[in-house]
Amino acid sequence: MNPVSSFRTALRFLKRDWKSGELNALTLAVIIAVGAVTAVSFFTNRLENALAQQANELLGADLVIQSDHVLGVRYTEKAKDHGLQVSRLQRFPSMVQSASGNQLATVRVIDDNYPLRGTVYVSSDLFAPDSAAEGVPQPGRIWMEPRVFTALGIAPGEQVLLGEISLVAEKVLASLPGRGGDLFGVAPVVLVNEKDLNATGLIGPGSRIQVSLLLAGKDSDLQNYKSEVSPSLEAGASFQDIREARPEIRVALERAGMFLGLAALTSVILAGVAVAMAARRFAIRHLDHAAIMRCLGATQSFITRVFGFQLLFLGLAASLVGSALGFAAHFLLLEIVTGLLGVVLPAADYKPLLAAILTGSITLIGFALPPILHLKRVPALRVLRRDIGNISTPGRLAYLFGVAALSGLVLWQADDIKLGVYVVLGFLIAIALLALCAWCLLALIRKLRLRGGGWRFGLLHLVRHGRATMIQTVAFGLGIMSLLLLAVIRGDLLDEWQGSLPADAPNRFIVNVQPNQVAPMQEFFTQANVKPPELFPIVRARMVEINGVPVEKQLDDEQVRRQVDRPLNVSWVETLMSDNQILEGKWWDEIEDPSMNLVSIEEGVAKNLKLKLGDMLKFNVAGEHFEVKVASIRKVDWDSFRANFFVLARPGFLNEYPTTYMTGFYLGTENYKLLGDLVKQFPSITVLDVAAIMGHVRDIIHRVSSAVEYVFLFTLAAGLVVLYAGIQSTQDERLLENAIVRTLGGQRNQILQTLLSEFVLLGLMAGLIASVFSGVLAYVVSEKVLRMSYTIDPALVIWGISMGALGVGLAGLWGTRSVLSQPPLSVFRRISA
Amino acid sequence: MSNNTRDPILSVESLSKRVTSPDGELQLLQDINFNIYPAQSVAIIGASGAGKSTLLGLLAGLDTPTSGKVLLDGQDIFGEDEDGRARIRGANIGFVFQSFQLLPSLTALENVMMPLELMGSSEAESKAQEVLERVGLAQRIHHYPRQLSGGEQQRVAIARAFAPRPKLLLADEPTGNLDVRTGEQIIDLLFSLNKEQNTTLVLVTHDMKLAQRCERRLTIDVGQLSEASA
Repeated sequence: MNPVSSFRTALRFLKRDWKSGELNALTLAVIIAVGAVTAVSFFTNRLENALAQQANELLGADLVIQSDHVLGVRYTEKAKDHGLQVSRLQRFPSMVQSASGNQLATVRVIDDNYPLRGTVYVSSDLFAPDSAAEGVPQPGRIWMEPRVFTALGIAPGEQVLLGEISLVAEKVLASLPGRGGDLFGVAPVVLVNEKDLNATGLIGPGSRIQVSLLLAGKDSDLQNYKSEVSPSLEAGASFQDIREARPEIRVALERAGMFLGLAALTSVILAGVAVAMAARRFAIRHLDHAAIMRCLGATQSFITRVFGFQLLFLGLAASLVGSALGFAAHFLLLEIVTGLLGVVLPAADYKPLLAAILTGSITLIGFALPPILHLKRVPALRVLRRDIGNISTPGRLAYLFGVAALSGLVLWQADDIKLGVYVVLGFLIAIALLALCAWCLLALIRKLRLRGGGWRFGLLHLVRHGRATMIQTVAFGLGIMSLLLLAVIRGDLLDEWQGSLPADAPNRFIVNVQPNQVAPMQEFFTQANVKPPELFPIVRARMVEINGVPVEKQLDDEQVRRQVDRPLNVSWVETLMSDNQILEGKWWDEIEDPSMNLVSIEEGVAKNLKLKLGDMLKFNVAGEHFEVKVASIRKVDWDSFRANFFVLARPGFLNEYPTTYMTGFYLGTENYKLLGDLVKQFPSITVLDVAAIMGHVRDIIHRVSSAVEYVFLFTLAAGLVVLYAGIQSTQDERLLENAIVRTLGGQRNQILQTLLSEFVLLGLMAGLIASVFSGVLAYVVSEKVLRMSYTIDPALVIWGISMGALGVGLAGLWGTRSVLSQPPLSVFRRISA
Repeated sequence: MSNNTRDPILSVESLSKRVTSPDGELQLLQDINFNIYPAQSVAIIGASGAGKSTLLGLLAGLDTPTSGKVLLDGQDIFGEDEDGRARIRGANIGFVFQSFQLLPSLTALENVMMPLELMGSSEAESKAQEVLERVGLAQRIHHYPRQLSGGEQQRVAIARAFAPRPKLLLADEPTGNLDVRTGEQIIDLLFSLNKEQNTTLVLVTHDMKLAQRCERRLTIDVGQLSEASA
């Protein structure tokens, strides 16, 4: 019995099984499993790249090295060696002068490559609608933000003085990449070509200058560069990417990434369930083959080899077909999304393909190998006595093996380990609960001592095949649960995004408002028939001590230390803003002692600085100190784009420090002239236009929403395969039993009733348990992983039950319809052949 | 028992089989002893549930006894493990079943080739083809079992059983699923092949007409064996 003959036998079996449709369920399960995972992974992978790329447009680059001094040429050369695009940006404060005035500005000196990502928006008149700039300011030209024009009392086209040279103030700068990071920076920005820098004579030894090296290129190249350069990064220099620069985009991207990840994981699990169901049926249908071969003298190892090879061929072929289909499907998906959004997505990398093929192999091996291994133990005596050697005991162990394999796969696939652990634990508990509930319900039906017609046979069939019923309930339940879970989280995510970024989210910010300008400014708005925005006071304070110990002695992390190295905007309000939520501690109104100086800290800052309730913090404001106690830790909804603060103080004790005011409000483009009037009346204020940034964020969120919708469709497909495989798994017994009933004179209606009651009840059971559990799981995933608030919706149960009853009921009827149409004898022949 | 000077091909010594059923211990076979000599044809007859199939299963090593021995060509088949018994079957025993037991995934030719291939025969295909021609199925060798009539399926099964030229052929109610006419043709075929190959034939039946065609008839009744004189 050489391996060649088992190889050939396996091929023969495979060919024949394939022709007879025997392998449909298993093949389809693997194909769809692999296909769904391939499509979702490729799509997610490329979409994530695209989203990151788009987010990087806000940064002006994919990666930035920030430094407080001029960087050595080695950084640029190494970047070029890695195939990266490079642009140099230098920033320093300087006075811009005209005949009638002067203004302190942040001078941004750029080279011709700027920006590597994103666009500079300019207009040719103050506050006029803007458009994308072509190139950068040529030597001899300067582009300036509106406030510089108003402060200097000039119009575009006039001359200004920067250092020792005179430049033409050519264009009004509306927005530029990388501006977002210092949204509340005090000085307005002007943009100058690097070729003019020396002539200005502004930069000499000891000048205060900030240098950014902007980098763009392939993700892998960037990673390689970063890991090569990081260890030797000089003091004062650090890497920055979009996730550090803009919290609201970071949150949106992270949540979207997690959801897409969750969808991919769910497809993996559903695929695994489908393969498990199909493999069981495969093994059951091959019990006789194994017994006959044993009888003809085949050894156990021969049997294992034959079926093992068969499985291997099948797995490989189906995985290949699946990944090809998935790859094709992802193009279709991209076509829809990019057609909708008009973007070109970056190329995918190899990882999804590997993930898909591993998914196919691991699910197949995990779930199919144990029953196949059982085939070698089928006693040859089965040729004489059909009743022995049925698949029974290996079931539990086999599924354990499969579940373990699948859990490993999910954890490997999960980019977020926390999410992976929650999903695996959730599904394990769900499997146990589904099985337990199914068992209880079956016990209940057994006790009921039913009487009546066809539906009673249906219920009795469920009870008699208790084991198969339990397996089917678990499978259908997992399917329904996954779909409900994704549907619920998807809905919440979309609602949250849409709700958090309403059309009237603030798109202009005014900072540097002096206390004596607050009342006149509100008057200004009222007269212009615009609702006066709420103005928040700001004291710029630097944190110097935590619990009496200097901060620099407490914080190891360079990045964190830098965070406290610059002044924080501390504001004070009586009532907590609606987009803030207290996580720990109490708001002022619940604290009785009015004498204490209290602050509320944003959770991210609290985490970075390791602050807890009751900590004493010392701040420095222009040489004077004040001490405060941490009374609460707050969650801030950065998605809202409203004015928000890392540190909020109790009103009262900060009044004596130098204060300015700021506000954020929505202003339609039709009202842009109002800003010009405002700046004329209050020349010292700074107006920040974030409309362009908002547009970017809206676009990103829109894209993520579409992606979430489409990816959900794939999970739905995987769910349908589970349904198909689940129905198929007991189809033969049902066909045979109903053929017997028909032989004995059973009417079409009775059989219909039997089948319907059986499948509907199965679906009801699965749907009920699944919906309850998906609610709980959605709660955990929302609150713990996505950090969104979630309220359990009772309608979920109705959805679950109807999905189960209708879906399983109809699919069951369809799957077994041949019993109604085929003469019983042909059913007997087909099943016994 | 008939006297025979040669060594028995099959020797059964004190064979017993007991199983535990919900109603307690059940004695299926009790202290069975007999010898079968090369080229004999033997019918095992008895009522339903008498233990005929249990005995056949034990003779083929498909099941294990509670006590006793079965020697095939002098070798104790229960001294071997499962795989050892499978090898003995492959090399020495052919089977014909009431329900044919063809592999539905394989063609007639491939079904007949299976035992030959399991033995590592290099001429499996030509040998299988030859036997199929012998049983009158030359035109149907590429058909699958479900495309064949019951009689044709049993011919394929017989071809499969004789193809490796077994020393011993075991048949379990070979005509049980066939009509009388087809059954007679199948039996004629079985006996003529048996004669051609000089095979020892042991068949289980409750068809007395079929039993009469055998040289010896062993009757089994409530697990006990007796031999009717020829």
